[in-house]
Amino acid sequence: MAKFSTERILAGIVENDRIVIQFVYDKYFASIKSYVLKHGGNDNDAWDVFQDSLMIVYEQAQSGNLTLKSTFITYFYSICKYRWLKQLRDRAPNQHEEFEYKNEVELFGYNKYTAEIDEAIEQEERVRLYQENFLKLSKECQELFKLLAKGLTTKEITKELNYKSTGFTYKKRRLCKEQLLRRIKENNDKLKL
Amino acid sequence: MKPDLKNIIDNDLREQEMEQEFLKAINNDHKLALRETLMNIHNKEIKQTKQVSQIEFKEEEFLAAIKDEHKLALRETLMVVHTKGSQKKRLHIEVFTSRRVQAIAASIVVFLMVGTSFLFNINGTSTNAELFDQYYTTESSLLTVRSGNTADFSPLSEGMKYFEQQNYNKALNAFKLAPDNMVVKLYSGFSYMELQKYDEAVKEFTGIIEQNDNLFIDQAEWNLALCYLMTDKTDKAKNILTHITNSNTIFNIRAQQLLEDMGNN
Repeated sequence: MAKFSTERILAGIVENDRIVIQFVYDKYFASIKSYVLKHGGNDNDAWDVFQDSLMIVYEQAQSGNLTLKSTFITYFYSICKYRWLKQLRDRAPNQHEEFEYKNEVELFGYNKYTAEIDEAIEQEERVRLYQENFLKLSKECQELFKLLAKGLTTKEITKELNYKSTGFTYKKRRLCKEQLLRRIKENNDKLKL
Repeated sequence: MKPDLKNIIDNDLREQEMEQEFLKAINNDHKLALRETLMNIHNKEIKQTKQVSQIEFKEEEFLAAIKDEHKLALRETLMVVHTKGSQKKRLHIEVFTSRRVQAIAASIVVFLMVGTSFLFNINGTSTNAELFDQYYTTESSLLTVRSGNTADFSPLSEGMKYFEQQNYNKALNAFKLAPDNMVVKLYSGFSYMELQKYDEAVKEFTGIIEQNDNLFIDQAEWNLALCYLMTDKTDKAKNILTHITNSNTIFNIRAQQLLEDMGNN
């Protein structure tokens, strides 16, 4: 397996470099998973933790504010741990308040940062749920939503996608939204377990 | 008395008793108010738990999320990598259920092991100090300390500031004021490593490991192994590294690699 420096990994994540991402996954996902499983989570939780944490790295790296003095894995692992401990705390606030979570906060040293990272984590959870389920939709629905996201009107979308009428576009939009909501709901049911 | 009539009277009496009991129960204002408070707290908690597990769909938020094309592309790559990874794992399990294949696999493993050690001999082994340099990386408090946050003057945050500035002696002086804190112990250990006082670092890491119930054991064990390596206590280092490879920690792979690199040292 090729080795990459911390800088190369961060750049690879920002650039969506498949080889770097494959490397990060192959090298670290198993460890993150075993940590989550060891601490009361399941396979899906581990995958969510991994994704959210990598996206947090992406956000920090692409903003240019990240000054990393530790190795990538020390930094990444601490985000993963923090992300998982936050989920444990959110699930049962009274049980985990004084638990490891507190130590992890101390590791960051400053409470202000804690609030920021908590916000970032919550944001990432929502974005994951949206993006992940969006990517599982039919190509047609993906196309339709992309145009909506770009701010196109129903009339413009009708023209762009060669639909026969605006009424048909409305109908398609409703069906796609139903498809999306059904998937999100399935995800939520998984979360409840 | 007819049985039916007896039943009716009994029921009436029971209802009367219940009514009296009910009126008595709601007549206690204090207890009623206490109950109301308790129920409010409980309901609030249930609502909060629900909020955590359920996401409310907001179309605007959804459209904003899919508009971020870079992130969406990154997510897609991740999903592809993960799906392939899971498929590979399934395939691996299926293949290894066959005994015959297992035997072949075993011979491949032997072949690979022989191959690796052969290569190793050609390349020659590194000294413990060289290996230490290769595997040791300076730790930091993970993120840059922000100068605006000066309200917190705990030994930990004071020490961390100095640690960030690579002023390890000052960091240690601050850390000494909170000797029982596990984070302090961890970063005291790192500070001693930076100052090349490995025996002192060993004490800090050992302290963390002895205090069994904390989050930093993985890091303490790994760095303890590195300290032993640097002070040529090779057997001790190998023992810890072997222990790490048998446990599911983040240092598992690194420990395996280091053990391989140490070879016959």
